[in-house]
Amino acid sequence: MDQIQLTIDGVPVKGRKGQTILEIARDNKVDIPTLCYHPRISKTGACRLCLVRVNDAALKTSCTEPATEGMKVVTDDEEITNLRRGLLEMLLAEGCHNCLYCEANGDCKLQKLCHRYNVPEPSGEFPRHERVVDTVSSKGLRRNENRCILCGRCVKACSEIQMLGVWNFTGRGSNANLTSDMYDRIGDSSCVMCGTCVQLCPTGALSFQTVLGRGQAWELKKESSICIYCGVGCKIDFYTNKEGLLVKALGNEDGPNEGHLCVKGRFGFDFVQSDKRLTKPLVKKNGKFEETSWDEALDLVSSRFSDIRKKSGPDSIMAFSSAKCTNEENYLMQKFMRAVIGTNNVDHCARL
Amino acid sequence: MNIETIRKTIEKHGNGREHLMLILRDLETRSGKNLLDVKTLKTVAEEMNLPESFIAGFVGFYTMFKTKPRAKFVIRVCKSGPCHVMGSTTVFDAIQKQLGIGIGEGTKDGMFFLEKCECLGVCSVAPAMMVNYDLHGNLTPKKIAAILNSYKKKKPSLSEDCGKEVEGRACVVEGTKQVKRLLENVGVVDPLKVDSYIGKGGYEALKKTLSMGPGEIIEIVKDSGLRGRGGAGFPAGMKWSFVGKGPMQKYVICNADEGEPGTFKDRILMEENPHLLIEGMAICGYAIDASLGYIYIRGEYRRSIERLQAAINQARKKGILGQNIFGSKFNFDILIKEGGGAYVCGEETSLINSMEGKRGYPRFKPPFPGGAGFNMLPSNVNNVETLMSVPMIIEKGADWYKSVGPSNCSGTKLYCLSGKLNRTGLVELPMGATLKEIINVHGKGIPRGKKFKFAQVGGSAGGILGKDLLNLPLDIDQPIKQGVTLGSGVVLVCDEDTCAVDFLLQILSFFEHESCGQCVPCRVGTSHLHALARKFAERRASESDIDAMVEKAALMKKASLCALGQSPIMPITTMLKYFRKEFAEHCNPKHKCPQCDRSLLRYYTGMTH
Repeated sequence: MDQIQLTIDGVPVKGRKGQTILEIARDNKVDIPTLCYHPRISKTGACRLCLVRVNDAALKTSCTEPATEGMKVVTDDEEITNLRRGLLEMLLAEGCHNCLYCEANGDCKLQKLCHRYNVPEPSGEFPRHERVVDTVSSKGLRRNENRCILCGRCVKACSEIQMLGVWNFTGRGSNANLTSDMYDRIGDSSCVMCGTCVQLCPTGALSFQTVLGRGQAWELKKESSICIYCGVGCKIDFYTNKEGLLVKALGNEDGPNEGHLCVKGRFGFDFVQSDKRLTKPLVKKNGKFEETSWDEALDLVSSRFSDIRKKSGPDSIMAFSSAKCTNEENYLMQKFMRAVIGTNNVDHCARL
Repeated sequence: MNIETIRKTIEKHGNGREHLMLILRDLETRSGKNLLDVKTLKTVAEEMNLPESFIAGFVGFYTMFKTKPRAKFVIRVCKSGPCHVMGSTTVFDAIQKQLGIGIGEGTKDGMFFLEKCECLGVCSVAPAMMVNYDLHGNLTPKKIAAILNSYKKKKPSLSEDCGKEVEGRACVVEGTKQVKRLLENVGVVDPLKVDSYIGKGGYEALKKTLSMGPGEIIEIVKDSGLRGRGGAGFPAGMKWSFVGKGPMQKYVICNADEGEPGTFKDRILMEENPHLLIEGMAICGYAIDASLGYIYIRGEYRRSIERLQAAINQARKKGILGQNIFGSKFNFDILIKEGGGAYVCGEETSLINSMEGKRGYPRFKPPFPGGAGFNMLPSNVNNVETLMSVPMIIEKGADWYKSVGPSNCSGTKLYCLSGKLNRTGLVELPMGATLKEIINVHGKGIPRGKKFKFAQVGGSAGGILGKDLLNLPLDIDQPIKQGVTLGSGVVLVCDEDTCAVDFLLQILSFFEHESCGQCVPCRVGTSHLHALARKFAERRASESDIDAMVEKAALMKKASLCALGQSPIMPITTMLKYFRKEFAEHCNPKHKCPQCDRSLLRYYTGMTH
């Protein structure tokens, strides 16, 4: 690997040839503001916030500019700050951003940057295009495009990560806006509700139905876990609100899923806090299920298996295993059937 | 539309995303009412196995397509600089009077639908309009009536039926002292006959090329000092030498998306001498080791498309295009790609995205097209005029080419004359002609004894030149020192009657309309600049809005992704340099300005474009 050396804000840093300035900066814990950049999608270079000064001269977008040997990068000076503030001001004026009503409040990249750069409130003198608000058509996603900054992360999330291409831009210039499929509502489109677009949305333009009215981003507490739906073992960050209710699941970028989730992992967590959930083993006595201890339950299963095996032979028993189990658990199951019960009758729900 | 028609159309053009423009254009024409309805588009997506959103995004980007019902004939009236100065509002007035429709409206019988559009490339015969694909210029109310009447019995088709006045050779200024190199054979060769071109020494340069090495050709072009004629003026030979080397496919791409308001040179060249372009592209192909060339022509130029296609077919028959050209080992072919009404696609990376069947968003650079262009393969993009200059350089040598024009930007330049002149049209002069010469000698002065107010040089992205710059040599480098640019060679002359505010409003509305919307400064900035200019035209601005305009444009200049967003600063600052007083006057609500009133009434009712 070709190593290169450059300076960022006067500090010598090392990077690899082919890396962009931004990548090297992030590796070295140098903060450059971005909105359209996300490591999991291709580069866009559209928000222009990551402009840096290269070799005391030209301004370049650090997310797209390849770093070269001996490069001198300045990530902030008066002119750059003014440009960033001007750009953020433009974004605020273009949309309708009211944190009071926004689910992303507290986790909004635009909000953070506007605060950091002390951006004044928009004057309201410029005309603004009213865009689509669709909060009802989909069971999973809410869309309020007036909070959209057209960074294109959702478009790329759908076409590059989920490989579906539900989102795209249509229109042009100040009339540009999002479309799902052919100008359909998101709920009527081919969306599979993986929620990746929402996860990558830097503002509250796209949000989850589940969080509606249950807490803004700043109020939520995060806990990492592993998805129980299949053997992939996606790492999930579950968010609970102040009442302790699970309201949101985001893919954790450090897991094997690199932040991606499917519709089950994303939305299928309501059973966790359901009062219908089984928490203790039940045994049917006199036609009714009654709570019992694990010992009693397991003894019953063991004795019944032995009886059946004795009476009708091992092939009268089969095991059906679940994708919710890990590979190791599934292995144990078939081992148990073959070695203990003595049958090859094993199957798995993933075959269905 | 029935599924069989859709399937056949896709089959005809090829089932691939890069053929989307032609497929949709064909389907739109077949609909007989300029309509691409959502159901048809969904079928196209399904048949082409593309996500529906790709098609929706594509159709939404190119202004020539609409998913809402229009009419059998769409009348597009140009409102860009030259037409605006020459009275495009009167064209709208006349159409309103005759058909009773305003912009965005259709006649009840479903015959006509009226739209405003940006430059149609027939600026010497402004004001102009396009009815479906037929261009008409020199419009007067009487002429409009006759034109509209002639459509009563016509059927919509893709083949053009333009007025005589827009014929290429009719748009060339004759009878003045020029140095005709590119225009030498315009009106002399028959554009529809390859033998006529060969009879005038055509394809000799290609033969000569094939006897030399690719490196030699690049050296000659470098030595000639030929610089890009599309507007940026980048040395052509150097660009060729940057094209990636190796065994991969490489492309020659001709940028014929002539969209800079006031520019019509490429149209004339392509219509009148298409084989010269083929020859230039083949030579470039040989030099950079490309076996395939694409010509990306704006969709409005039907005649250019038809003539070039005919010329390509003839050249293939003659063995000038194809395998083993002139008995050599060189293979080369040319295909045509069409645009769909997007100024930004003149930017080379937008053009490449558009060729690939995508929205015409510019790409960030690097990588440059020379390294990763069309289909991410090395591509060399040159303007029509640039490529057409190549054969003569090869044939007559670099020294001959350098014998005219200044040393740093040699050769001749095509200047596109439009606006308030007694004679408008195309002139070919040694690079560095002055406004004074162009106006007085070739343009024969300003009509009705009116006084010169300013000239817009370089199109909407160019600057405003006042009296003090009448003697400025209009080459590539000198204007830049004065804060202006030669650009594509537009010279739009405005007389004392032109309102500076109204003119700038027209430019800034153009930029808002043509911004692609990808990067923040341009998408929002162009919209804000338009709104600020509107304030002046509506006489509700304050003087601080002048500075606000400059500030916004300065931010756009520094932060925008492509040249479009970097451009508005030039017309704004150069206009303010001369006419700041006029802007200040427009801050007074009682100030009278009939021109602004007329424009506001015609174009700018409603919020923005």
